[in-house]
Amino acid sequence: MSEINLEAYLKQYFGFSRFRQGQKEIIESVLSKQHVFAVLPTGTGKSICYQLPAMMLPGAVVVISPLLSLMTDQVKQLKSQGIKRVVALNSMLTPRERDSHLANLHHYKLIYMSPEMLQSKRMIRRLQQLTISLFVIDEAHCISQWGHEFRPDYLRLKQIHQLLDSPPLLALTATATPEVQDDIIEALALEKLRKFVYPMDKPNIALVVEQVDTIREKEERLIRLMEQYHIPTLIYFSSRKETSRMAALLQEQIPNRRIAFYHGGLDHQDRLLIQQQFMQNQLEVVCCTNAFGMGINKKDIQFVIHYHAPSQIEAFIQEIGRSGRNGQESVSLVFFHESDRIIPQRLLESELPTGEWVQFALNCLYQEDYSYEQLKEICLLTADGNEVYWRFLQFQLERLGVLQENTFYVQQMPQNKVQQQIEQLIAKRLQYKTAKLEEMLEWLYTNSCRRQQLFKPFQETLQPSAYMCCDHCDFSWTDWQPSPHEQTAQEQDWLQTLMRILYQGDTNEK
Amino acid sequence: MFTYIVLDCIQKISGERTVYNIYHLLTAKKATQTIQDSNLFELTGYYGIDKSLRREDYDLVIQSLAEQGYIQLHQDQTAILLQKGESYLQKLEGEFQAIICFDGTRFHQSGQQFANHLLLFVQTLTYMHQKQTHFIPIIEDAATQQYVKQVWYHYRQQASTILLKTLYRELYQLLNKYPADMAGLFVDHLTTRERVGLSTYQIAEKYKLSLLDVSVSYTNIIHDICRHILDTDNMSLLSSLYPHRQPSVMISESAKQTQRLLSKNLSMAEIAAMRKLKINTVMDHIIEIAYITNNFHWQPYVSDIQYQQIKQVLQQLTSRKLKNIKERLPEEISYFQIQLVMALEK
Ligand SMILES: Nc1ncnc2c1ncn2[C@@H]1O[C@H](COP(=O)(O)OP(=O)(O)OP(=O)(O)O)[C@@H](O)[C@H]1O
Ligand SMILES: [Mg+2]
Ligand SMILES: [Zn+2]
Repeated sequence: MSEINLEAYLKQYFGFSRFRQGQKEIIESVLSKQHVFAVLPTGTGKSICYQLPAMMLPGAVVVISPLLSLMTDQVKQLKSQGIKRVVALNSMLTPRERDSHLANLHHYKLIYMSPEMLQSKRMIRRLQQLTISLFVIDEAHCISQWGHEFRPDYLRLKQIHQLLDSPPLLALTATATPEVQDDIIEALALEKLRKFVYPMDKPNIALVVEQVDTIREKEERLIRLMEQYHIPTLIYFSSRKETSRMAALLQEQIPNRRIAFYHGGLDHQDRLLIQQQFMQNQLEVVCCTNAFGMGINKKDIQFVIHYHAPSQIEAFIQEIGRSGRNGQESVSLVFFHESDRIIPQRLLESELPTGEWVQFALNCLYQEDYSYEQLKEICLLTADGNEVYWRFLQFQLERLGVLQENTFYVQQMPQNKVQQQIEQLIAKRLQYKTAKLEEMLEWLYTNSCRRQQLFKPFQETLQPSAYMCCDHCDFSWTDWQPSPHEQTAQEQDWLQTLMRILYQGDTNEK
Repeated sequence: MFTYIVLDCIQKISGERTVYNIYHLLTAKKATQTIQDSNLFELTGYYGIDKSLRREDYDLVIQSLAEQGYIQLHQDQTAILLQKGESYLQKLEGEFQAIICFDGTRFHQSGQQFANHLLLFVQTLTYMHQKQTHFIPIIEDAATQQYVKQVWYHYRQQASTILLKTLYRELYQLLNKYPADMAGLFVDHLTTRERVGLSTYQIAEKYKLSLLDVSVSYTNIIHDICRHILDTDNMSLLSSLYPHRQPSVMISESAKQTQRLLSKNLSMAEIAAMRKLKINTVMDHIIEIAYITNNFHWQPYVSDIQYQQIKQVLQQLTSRKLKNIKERLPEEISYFQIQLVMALEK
């Protein structure tokens, strides 16, 4: 494929005239049917690496994506750009929709899918009938036991890739330490795999940490900053409650800024509205949990604040990577208070089931003879609807051979042995996560250049910073003067509003 | 408004059902029992008007009503209105009675569909008007998108200016009779090219209402629009967004199947065996069917004499507690027979 050709395709389908770092090399390798593993920083355009090939190759490109919102957002985005032959298959579809998508699967160029969907035999059989020209694993760190968001279903992808006759495979991730990279490559077990690793540091984001002595001080500091900087801003919190509390407090103190909160507990429609308002600059500040951000591709975010310290470096890098997507000067600020040591530790612990919970579930299984469905139900119920515990248990039982194709084979291993194995694993995971948290906290206490410290686990050299570097090098608030965004929309009564939003002050004929 | 609804329900039920029956009524859960109750106490308007209402939030409302001395909550989860509650209800009635239009029986399903059609259509129209064919649909549900696409196709010959004018006129006509905040709350739900609609939280904040108030007030106006669409002729554009083809009859899916089998002259026992259901469930279905069917063929289930006996007690007694009714009837008359006659005599 010649150089001119690729760029012309890029222009034609996506309207960009130049490739960004890494894209072209990766696309070329993919088009020449090589297996590829690539690490590209957040927000730099990993999607193009498979979306463009999808437009050029015969047959379909299958994309495995871990998050529902991530894939529906991409599909919406593509459709709104006029690329219509895309579909997302996930558990949210009604059986009828799923059937109809399956029947029409050969019409699509890009098929997004959750790893769960790929577990069904019917789905695999259907895919086997198609020409799959590329098999993409997005957010590939989910494969690694030690990645920051391990997803058991991801481990089975390798097997499914083989069932599909091993088409060229592209595994993509934004944040993977060399250790995690090796783990991913090992799990994929592919001969001849090309590896592209690009530096993860973003030269346009300055890194700032502010230590505060009281919660009150934290609040006041935040209010002052929000009064001062009128730019699109994300504020991350570690609890849902805090997002709404602080959003209300901020709004009360700064009535002329538009502020909202967002977390996974809001209903679907409200989440969609907040997201769209933010995208269209109707909102300037979103107080959110880490549920916000994935799939958000807003180019003018310039300020990301962590009101609570994040619990690991990888997640932190992803989150600050939502800012400065156009290369403009941006700032990441982390507030640090002593209690930030304790809260994340507690959160970590709650992410994994306790030994007692496992024992309770195993009792149901071994002594009460529960069926798969019954066990699932009781597990969801006792974990307060939190699916994580159930998925964890399910995967462990499969790994130990006690669960096969949704049927239990308890004679495979005695209960106490299963209990012991699972508890060991929980302890190991917890230890790992605690170590990650320590690493994050250590960074907060760094006395030297924060940029160097942050990226040390990932890469050997750093790009020079484009603007200010960090609070230990050269950062000062007075030197940061981003131009304020303008305000719009004044309050009106309902009749004026109705008229304004329907007539839009303009009368184009259709 | 939410408080008004709950107090209204408590008053009408006057201690004969628990507060959770009201919850089931509002959320349209436990179909059979709830449908019977709503008919019995003339609360059908509220059927399914807040399907996403969470139990915790509902509990908080009940608790606070009790703490403020409006209602008295009993051990068995029934509740009655206290003096203070009566007068508060009267005050709220003055505020809301004129504008309350709920008709859950007719619109608990179609109203929701209509609302989604409307939201997506308004967005589509305003974007298309600006010749912007690519936008992110505010309703993700595929069936809604399909529906609106068809409506849009239907109007393809019309100028978007005309459609916008018509839409404005029809909405104006409906909203004009509401207090300003109520109308504003509705308008703020709309997403157009100009502006993304507000979330429930934002609307609640703006008008200083509770989330539950926002949700039921919105549903109320939606039901009002639906009623105008069906009962008048002057809502041509809005009418095309109403799912006319699937009239919503208040009957559960399972009861529908039972109805089909009944019409093939199968007995209750046969149906139960065939569908692997408990006989009691089939009885529940039959009662459900009796509520909505004219000329229901009840003779297989109650003798003429029994029917008359039950009817008489129902007329004498104001209470609708099954136990009280049964006590006054011969031993051999079952709860099922009583409920059936209640359904037929409603
Ligand atoms: N060559 C290019 N020129 C200009 N913009 C581009 C180019 N490639 C991608 N983009 C834009 O960059 C943005 C980010 O792309 P994308 O979502 O694919 O990033 P990502 O690496 O997958 O990010 P994340 O880590 O958040 O998943 C998109 O808006 C995309 O349109
Ligand atoms: Mg991506
Ligand atoms: Zn530095």
